Amino acid sequence: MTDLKERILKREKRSIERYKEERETFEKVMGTPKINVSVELPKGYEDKREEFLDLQKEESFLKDADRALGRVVKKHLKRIEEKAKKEKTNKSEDKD
Amino acid sequence: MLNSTSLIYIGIYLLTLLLASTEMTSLSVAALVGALLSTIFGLTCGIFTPQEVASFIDFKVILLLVGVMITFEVVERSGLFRILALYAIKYSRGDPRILFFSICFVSAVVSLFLSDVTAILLIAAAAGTIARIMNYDPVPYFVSAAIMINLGGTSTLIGSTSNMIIGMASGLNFIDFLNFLMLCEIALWILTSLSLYLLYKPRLGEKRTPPTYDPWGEIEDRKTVYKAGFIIVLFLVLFLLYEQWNVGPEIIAFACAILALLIVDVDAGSVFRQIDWETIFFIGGFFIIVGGLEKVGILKAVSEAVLNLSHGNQFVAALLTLWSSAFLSIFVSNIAVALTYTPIIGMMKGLGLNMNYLWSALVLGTNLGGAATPVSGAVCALAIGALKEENINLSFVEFSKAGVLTTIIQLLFATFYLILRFGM
Repeated sequence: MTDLKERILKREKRSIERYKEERETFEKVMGTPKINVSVELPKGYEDKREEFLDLQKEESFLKDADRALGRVVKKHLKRIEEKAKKEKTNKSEDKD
Repeated sequence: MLNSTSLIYIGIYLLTLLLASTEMTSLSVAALVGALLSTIFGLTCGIFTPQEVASFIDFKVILLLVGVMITFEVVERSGLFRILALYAIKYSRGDPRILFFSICFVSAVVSLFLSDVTAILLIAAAAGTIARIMNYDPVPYFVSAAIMINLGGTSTLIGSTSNMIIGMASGLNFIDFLNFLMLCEIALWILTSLSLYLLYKPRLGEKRTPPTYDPWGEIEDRKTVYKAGFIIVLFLVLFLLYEQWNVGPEIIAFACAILALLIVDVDAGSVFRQIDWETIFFIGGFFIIVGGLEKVGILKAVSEAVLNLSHGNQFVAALLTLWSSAFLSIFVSNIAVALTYTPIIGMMKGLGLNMNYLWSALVLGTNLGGAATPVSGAVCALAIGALKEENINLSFVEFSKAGVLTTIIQLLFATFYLILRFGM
């Protein structure tokens, strides 16, 4: 029975790909929003092409990148917030 | 007594079912192998002519199926059904009980229009996402969605492929289906979702704060959704009226498909690539196998055996049809069951039996047997496959507990309904 189940599941692989796509769409609407940032191989490291690509599978790299990007995102969101506040105060001062 | 020709045709039929149900090859290839063997044997032994082989295939069924597939592929791409699922989740307000019933209801509604496979991928994705966000166990939602999707559309001509086959063979139109079976389907929705709720109640989790979102958030073009909604309404209206214009449902389905492609901005080529050719070739091949069985007199013998068993009593004949077709649908494709049973039931015409009684029993049997175990239908296997993506391995037995329980409840209720609707 396990073999039969495995065979059925294997044959449904294409449908499962469609399931993943569908789930991504629902995640975009209901889940925490995400943005994708692509990172290029830095200049001077051209001979490390494979090692660079392997980084995307390395857990410690992903954690570090997530933390570093998190800091950058927060910094930029704060800057946007402050800019909006400034504009608001400027507008109210102009009115006065 | 069966002669050697009959035995060969029974052998071809059983071989096809064996190949298809054990997944040794795809459904379509199994049916085409059977059709090829049947044709070679029939032609060499002079049982039928090449022209007769072509006439075994009911092209109206194929046209109806393709028309429905194209129409609802276009509608599905608009995001209309996704919005429906998102609203259902939003209005459950984090209450797992309301969420459970909403998922059950939307599953059944969506499967009125979409193929079971497309419907389960959509609903499972919605249920899987909300279950992860709310930290709920996804199993109750996935299994219930699969069972409700199998049930949804039992009372409509276009609700399932087996219904289209039965509808075209019996001559029952869209209104006849609703007239004979709609009340039964509504009662079955309530009964099945309640049974599943009682079964899964301890696993549904507690009320939590739901995410706030706009169901229309991912829709880039609202006009496309409105157009898709218009097509569904038009499709249903035309299906209610087509008898008056002396045209068949296949013409209406195809006209709607053309209109959908015309007014909704979609790539027609990619829509055509999404047509389920696997099912179409399976039906085409199986028509030839069944045609061979009919030609050598096997189906007539089965029909007479059913009449003898029932002593000409329509209630017993209907019960035999309902339970045997449901039982067979648990193990083999319900499309194959519908294709085999339609000529058998058709031969009982003119023998004083209420044919609507028998056709209704066949519709219920072929539909209700499709979600008893993971091998009963693609929708069940896909629910398990999707759960695997959520890192949950649902066993064959665990799925079957819910599947067999609801199938038995549904069949018992269907028996009761048939007695009430058509008498003893």
